[in-house]
Amino acid sequence: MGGTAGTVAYTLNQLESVGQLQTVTIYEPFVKKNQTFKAVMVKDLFAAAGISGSQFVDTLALNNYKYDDSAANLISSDALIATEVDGQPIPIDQGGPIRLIFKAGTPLSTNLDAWNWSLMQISVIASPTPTPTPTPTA
Amino acid sequence: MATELFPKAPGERPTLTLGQKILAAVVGLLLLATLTSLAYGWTIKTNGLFTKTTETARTNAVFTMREGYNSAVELEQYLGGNASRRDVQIARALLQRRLSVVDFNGQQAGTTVPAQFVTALNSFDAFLRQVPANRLTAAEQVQWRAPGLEIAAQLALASARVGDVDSKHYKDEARTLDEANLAFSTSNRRDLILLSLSLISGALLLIWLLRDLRRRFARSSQSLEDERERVRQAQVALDRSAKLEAGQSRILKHIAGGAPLVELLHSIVSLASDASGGQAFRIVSGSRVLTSRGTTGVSTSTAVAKQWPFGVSADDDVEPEGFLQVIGDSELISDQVLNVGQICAELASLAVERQRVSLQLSHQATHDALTGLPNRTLLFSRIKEALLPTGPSDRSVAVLFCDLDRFKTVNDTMGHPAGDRLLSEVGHRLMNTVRGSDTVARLGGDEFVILAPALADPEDAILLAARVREVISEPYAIDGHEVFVGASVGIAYADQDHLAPDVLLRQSDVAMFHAKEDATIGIFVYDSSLEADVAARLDLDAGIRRAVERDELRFDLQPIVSLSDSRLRGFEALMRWERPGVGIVMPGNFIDSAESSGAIVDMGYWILNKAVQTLAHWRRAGQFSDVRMSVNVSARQLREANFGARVLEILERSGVQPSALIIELTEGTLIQSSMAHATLDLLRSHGISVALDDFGTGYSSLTQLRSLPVDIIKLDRSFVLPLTDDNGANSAITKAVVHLAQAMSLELIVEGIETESERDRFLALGDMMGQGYLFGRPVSTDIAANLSPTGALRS
Repeated sequence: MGGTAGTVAYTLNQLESVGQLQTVTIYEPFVKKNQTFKAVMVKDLFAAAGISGSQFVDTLALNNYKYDDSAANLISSDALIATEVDGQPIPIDQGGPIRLIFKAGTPLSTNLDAWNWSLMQISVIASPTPTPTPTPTA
Repeated sequence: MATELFPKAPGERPTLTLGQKILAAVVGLLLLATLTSLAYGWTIKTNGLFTKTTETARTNAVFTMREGYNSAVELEQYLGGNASRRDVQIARALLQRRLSVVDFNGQQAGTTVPAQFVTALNSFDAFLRQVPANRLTAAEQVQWRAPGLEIAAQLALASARVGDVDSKHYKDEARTLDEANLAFSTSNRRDLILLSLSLISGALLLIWLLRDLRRRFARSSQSLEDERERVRQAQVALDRSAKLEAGQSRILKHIAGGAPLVELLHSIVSLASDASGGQAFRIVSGSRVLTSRGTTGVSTSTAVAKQWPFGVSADDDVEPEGFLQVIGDSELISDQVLNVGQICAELASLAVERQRVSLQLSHQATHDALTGLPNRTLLFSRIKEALLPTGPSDRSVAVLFCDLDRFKTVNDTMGHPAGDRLLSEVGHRLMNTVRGSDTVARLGGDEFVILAPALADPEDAILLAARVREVISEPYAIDGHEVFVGASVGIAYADQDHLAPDVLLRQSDVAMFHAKEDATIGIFVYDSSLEADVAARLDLDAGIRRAVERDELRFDLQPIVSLSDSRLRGFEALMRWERPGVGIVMPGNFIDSAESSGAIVDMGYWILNKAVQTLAHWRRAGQFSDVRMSVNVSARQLREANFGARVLEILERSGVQPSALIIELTEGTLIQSSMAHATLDLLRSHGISVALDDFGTGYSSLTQLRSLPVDIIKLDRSFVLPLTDDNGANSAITKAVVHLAQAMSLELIVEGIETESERDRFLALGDMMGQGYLFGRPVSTDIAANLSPTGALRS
């Protein structure tokens, strides 16, 4: 986790101990099947890291894929950071080890750009980047 | 009327017409279709056809290229010693993640890449399995760089060709997407059309409803306006009704207050017009026409719509006093106006009736009910008028006071109705005797007064009095009998001092009293010296009225005995008046006055009570057990409705046998009080005897004796004298009477026997009873009680 106030790094165990771990079964839109995830609520994580709803954040994946949004939008969509799938750690070729997921019916659940895989870090930014379009980093 | 005032609630409950209902149904169906269509469009979207809930094949391809390049770049970095084998493996894992993504068509990205890419990727993976972990050392770089770069180049090249595989797969996706777009846009268009149709038909329905509503509103407004008009008319009707009631009340007050009739009729006709909203009314009464104020031409108009007679009397057939008429066209006259007319006509009737009653009362107040002649009030007023100094000063005013002679006898013997008829006839005769300018009045009883004003000569009054006496003394036919009365006339003249009416009347009354005393002339002109005599008589009248209550009467008894043995058989009860300051007044001096004043009735009961009480006293004392008591009863007392009952009650209360009582009646009383015979029969049936007093002095003939209810005859002293005078004829009459009485088994009592010779002569005719100074004068009860039963006390 990084921002102007500093950086907070979490191990997987530390991450899983932030707030109450959730077990959710959701429709995974990329493989188009139901999967059961164990996940941490982004809301709890933001609270722990001192990120308020009025701030903007940038989510960054291992392959430099980025998705920017307001903390409030993520919180209101009940954004989750999954750490396990079907009782196992999430392999990288399934978007692991950790990834953003959304329950059906939440605003961001239909925005596949927001489903950032292989999440590496979340940074507080001054304002959102103009577009969440993926920027391949060769 | 009430239903017209409040006929129905204004307006109607709003309902839809058939057309509106159909249009509403169409709008409903359109809205339903729109909603269905919107739901369909929503379904399209939510099914992922058009939303970003799935990756497209294109996206997969782009990202496959990206991750392919990344993997190739990482391998190149590894071959240069700049990255570890793990970095390459991560990049490869991320590529693998992409290749596992299922696209819009339901196919994984890995299955749609070209064969060249698969081949390159297999080579890549095989190479990666051979190379050392971590970063390559310089020596290892020399070993692995050349073959590795070739494999990296193959993968980069194959990645670049992933996007080239734009074959049927992409076209299908594009078509599907187009179709989805088309379906969505078609759905949108349909939605739009349906929505538009809904809006248009909804708007039409709304306009229709609004127009309908406006029409209904207009109707309701009209209805409300009509309602207001009805209320206004009702208010006007109520106002008029209130006006009518107030006017009625006012006029009734005026009627009760005795307002003049013309004034009342004026008010009534004005009220009729006011209360009917200005309708023209008039009252036609005889030649008089009264119109309501402010109406012109009404008096002469002949257009009478309706008329009501008023002042019609139900019990006689006189013409109506007049008519209340409403002027105008009868077709246009409202019920309300007719009602007003009816009520006002009734008011007019009331006013007329009030006037009639008033006139009648006024007449009654000034006239005698029996004869119709002016009464004392009117006479006074006429005398006052006559005394006014308006005429020639040499004319005289005379007042003639006429009192009938023997009228009391007629009244007593034939009854009041007969007396009343006689008085009426006297009134007629007087009216026919006097001049037109004279006034004949009746003061009451048998007293008439004639006012003769403006006499040229005072002597004329005396001539008039003579004529009056003459006409009055002519016989009267009453109830089949010929009746005679006379008249005494007193005359008083008004002199230059202009006497007051009451003084003049009193003077004529005084003169009349004197005329009575001299029945031969029967006319007396007032003289101031007469006043004292009259005053004395009036004083006597006043005194006798109070004699009983002041206990001034004294009770005396005169014995009645058997002529043969002078044995005491009874007493005649007599009374004297001990008048304070005057002394003893004998009955002959006060009986007439007592009879005329009516005091005789009380006096009669007084002496009856005294007589019976005395008998009762004697009976209790064991004295005079067979002695009877005679009591005189006047005609007036005999006529008392309950006389018989009272006599029996007095006897019963005292315990005295009725046979001990004798009622003495004069001939006149007995013969003319035929109606009282029933009373006498009642008394006789109880054993009371009836004696005919003073027989021979009156009217009765011997033959009448048979039909009279008597038991005893008391022969008047006039029968005593003939026997002693040796007058043959009269003596024979006396004897005949005695024999007749004996033949009829009537007891005989001879009155006025004063000498033994007189007694003996009657005794020669047979044994009978006698009364007179020979046997005893009237004495007090105490003295009487001391008389010997076997012989009267000589006094």
